[in-house]
Amino acid sequence: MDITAYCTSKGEKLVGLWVDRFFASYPIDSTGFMRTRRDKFANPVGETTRNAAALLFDAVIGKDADPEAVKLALHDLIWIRAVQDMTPSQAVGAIVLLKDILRKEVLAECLKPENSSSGSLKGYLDMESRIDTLCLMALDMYAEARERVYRVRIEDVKQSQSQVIRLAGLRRERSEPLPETDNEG
Amino acid sequence: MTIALAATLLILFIGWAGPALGLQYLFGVILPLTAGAVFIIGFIWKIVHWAKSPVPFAIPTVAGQQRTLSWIKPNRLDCPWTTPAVVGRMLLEVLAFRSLFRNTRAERTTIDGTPRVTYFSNKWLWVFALLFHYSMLVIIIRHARFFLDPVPACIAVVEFLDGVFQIGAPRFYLTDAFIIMALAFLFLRRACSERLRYISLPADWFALFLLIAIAGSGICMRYISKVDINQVKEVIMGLATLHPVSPEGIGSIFFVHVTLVSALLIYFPFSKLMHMGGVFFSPTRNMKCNTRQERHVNPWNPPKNFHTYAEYEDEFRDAMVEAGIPVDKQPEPKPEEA
Amino acid sequence: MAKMPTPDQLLSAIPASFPKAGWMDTKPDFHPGSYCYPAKTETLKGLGFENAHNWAPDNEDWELPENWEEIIYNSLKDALEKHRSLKVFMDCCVRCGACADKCHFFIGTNDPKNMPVLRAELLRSVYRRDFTTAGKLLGKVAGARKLDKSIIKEWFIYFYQCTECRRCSLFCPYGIDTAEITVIVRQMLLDLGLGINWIMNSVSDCNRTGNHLGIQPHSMREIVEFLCDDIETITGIRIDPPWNEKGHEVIFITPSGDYFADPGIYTFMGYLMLFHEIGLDYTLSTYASEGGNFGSFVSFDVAKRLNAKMYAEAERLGVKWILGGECGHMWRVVNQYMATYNGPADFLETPVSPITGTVFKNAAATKMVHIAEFTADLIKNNKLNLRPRRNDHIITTWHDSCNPARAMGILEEPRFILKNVCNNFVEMPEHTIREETFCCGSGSGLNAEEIMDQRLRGGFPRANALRYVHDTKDVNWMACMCALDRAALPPLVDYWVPGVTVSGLHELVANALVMKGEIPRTMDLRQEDLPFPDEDPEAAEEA
Repeated sequence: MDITAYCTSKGEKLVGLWVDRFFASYPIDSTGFMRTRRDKFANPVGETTRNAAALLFDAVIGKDADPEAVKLALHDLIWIRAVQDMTPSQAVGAIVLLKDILRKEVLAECLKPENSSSGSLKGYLDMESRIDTLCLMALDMYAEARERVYRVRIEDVKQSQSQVIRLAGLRRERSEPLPETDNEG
Repeated sequence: MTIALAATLLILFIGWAGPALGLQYLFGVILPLTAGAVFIIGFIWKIVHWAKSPVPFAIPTVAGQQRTLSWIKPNRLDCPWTTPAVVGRMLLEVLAFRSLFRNTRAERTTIDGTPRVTYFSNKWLWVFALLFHYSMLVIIIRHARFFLDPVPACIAVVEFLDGVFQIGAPRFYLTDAFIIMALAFLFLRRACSERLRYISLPADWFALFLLIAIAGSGICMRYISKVDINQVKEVIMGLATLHPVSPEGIGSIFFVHVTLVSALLIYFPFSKLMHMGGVFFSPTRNMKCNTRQERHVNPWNPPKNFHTYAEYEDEFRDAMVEAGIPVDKQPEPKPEEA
Repeated sequence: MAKMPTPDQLLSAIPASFPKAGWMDTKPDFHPGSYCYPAKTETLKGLGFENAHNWAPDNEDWELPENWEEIIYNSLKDALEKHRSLKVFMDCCVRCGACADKCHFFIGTNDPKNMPVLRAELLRSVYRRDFTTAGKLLGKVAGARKLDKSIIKEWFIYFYQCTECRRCSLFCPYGIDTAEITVIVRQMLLDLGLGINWIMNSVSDCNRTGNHLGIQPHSMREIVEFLCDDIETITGIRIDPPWNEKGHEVIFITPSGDYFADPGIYTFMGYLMLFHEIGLDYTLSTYASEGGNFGSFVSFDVAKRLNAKMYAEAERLGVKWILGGECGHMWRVVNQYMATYNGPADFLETPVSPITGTVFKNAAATKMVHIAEFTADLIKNNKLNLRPRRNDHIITTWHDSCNPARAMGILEEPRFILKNVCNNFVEMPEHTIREETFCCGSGSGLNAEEIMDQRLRGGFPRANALRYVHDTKDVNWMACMCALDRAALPPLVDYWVPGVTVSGLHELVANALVMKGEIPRTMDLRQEDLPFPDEDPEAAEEA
């Protein structure tokens, strides 16, 4: 049995189940909104998740996938989840849940005696390994996203007072007192 | 939802049981008269209640290009700056539910050349809301034949158009089907969308159930368990002219219908159904977008109380003088240095 | 011994759907990042808020004044008596849900209480209980609930998750304006002594020093001198703007962010260069140097108080009319409130452009002209020598700021200017622009750094539309016309769409503006090399 072909044939269902798991991990999932409204601009979170899941799924089951495109899709997914008030494990962990789905839906097929000689079990394990890879990549991206958030926060403060900082620097050179401001915001 | 359904059924039951127990005068005369009075007084009271509060600020929601430079085409209806234009905007709002219609524009069918299924509920909301309200209007106009004698020609025209397909006897009215369809949609929309279910209050369900029950009992009375129309007209004319006629002997479905309508009339002024009046009072829609050209007066405008320039200069005068910024009052000459 | 949970168990600890309990029974969660820092007691006291006290949002007890219920009741009663809008908005909503997915905070967070309808219900439920008979008698069945301290907390969280952008009011069949409700609830919270630092501190500083950072006049002048130094470096022209001078024709007032903050300063430099080039007879003022009105986010009275300085200064300096810079909420106030608050401004004249003679009849009462109207008129009348080629490395899009769009309708003027100073202009997708524009997610005083995650979520719909034109049409620039946007969009873009620069409109104008007597330009206002610099006439001669 060709496991890639098998998974492709069940692809729509499996991706659907996976996407549901993603949506389910939102603190309060507005199912009526996230799941039904398919519009890139009216429901960007839902659409990004859906599109990314479909692409990542193809990569996991061993189809030819452009590594850059996979990275980008994963990036979109994780960077949204990184600012959704989730714990790191929640943000990244929904990827692991694909394993759970595959075990329920695909593993039994691989273990059937008639498929034992076709190397489908090896194919199955390869899929799981690819999920691990995605997870590790996601971890990197999550960390990067959080670092960006903090950098952005610092920049925000600096930019909002850029000229005051400039003045302060100049006065320090002239050893004058700092400009009077008591705003810490 | 359960509470609302129970309340509607209870009213329905009372409307059936009361007259059956011989209280036909109470349910056929006193109740509708009271309900009518409550409705009229309540409606006026609510409008007066709103009108008592002033409109301190002009806060129209602008939905199009403003009128500025002569060569830029302004949007007369979405950024109205004259009274007729505001009337136009309000008419579109009230007669065509323009704001609700805006939703349809948010639908798109292709992105990046890929066709996508979009969610149509909002467009449907506009369609069915319109369908419901216009069916309701036509039905009310049709009912006027019971209140007026002789029946004006215009009502006959409405009736003719409504029954234009000439199906069945008595002739089948389109609006009867439309109103049930529209109410069913509004109900299913509320019941099926988790989001809407979440925001719905018992009052939202109650209004729907009550209207469904009224439409249902009315249709039932016309097509299934028919009542003596002439006697009904006599009774209603009696109510309208305040010379009540005994309603004894009319089929019980009539009392059910009348009780439900009475309940609606009593409920109306104290509920969200007052959006009928409220829509005219919304300052984001009924005001002119010429707020820089004409001053809007706030009747309770508090007196000005602010940090004045003099106070400001007093605090920073020395620094300002040193920086070469002009001041109104020169600083006191510094005492001679010792 | 317990076994380790499976990933599924670990992650599904979170409810998979709407909470079983209705929205009235779910309580807000306070953790760092979910709330803004509270305003300092002395700041609020200084502004006259009697019930100011020390408290912390994540504490269980907010130490409300003892008669807090009475304060809220009176405050709401007062608001109902003063505002017909509030009465109508409280009574009319049919919960049709048309507004729900129009709110950028709901789209970005999926939190049901961020649907405008529920945000308003948070107040409506209390209103029904206290001010309607049905609510008093039937309680929850009538959608009413008794005020308790957790409702105050809920208000604090959710009415500080509304940017008063009014997008929902556009789609509401009854025009219910959540911004109006938000301002009133924030006012009620202030009556309890609950405010946020970023807003109230700025209010206090604007009140005292005239700008939101509390910079004193001499420092302010010095800072503008830096900017003039920069202009000289770039153009070879020295500009020395007048300060607090009497007898000029116009006073120019812009949000104070433009004096101090990147990238607003480049827009400010743009204004100065434009005024110099056309020879406008104007003055700046240190006293009325804040056009933006932080008070308008929280209270009509405070807004009036800050706004009053603009007319007072115009009168003191004896100008004929006021020219206003690029700002969002400032223009909401100027366009819809200023004349009402502090007019009539009879000491001023109907604005006339001294360069083109155009009479701004649309500003006949308020006597204040938006700089985009002013500049568009200059360009239309061919008064400016523009070289858009200098901006040829830029493919720009235009972000309609909420308030200029939905409270004013200034949609075409900036587009006209942009197309004249930039050869490459691309619109973002329909329904995310013009009157349907998405907010930056940080408006109405929510651009505090401590809630950056929330801002990034709220700004996601805007960023998503920008990203679309960035990916498909190589857009690398987003111009906008609001000081809050200029402060809030750079972080947003940095996170969601790196590679896009945010700027004000007049930065691009000044880049393209050919000034009399200037040196050939090799750099833009940010002092970055121009990929398409001016030709050096001397070098050209030699060649």
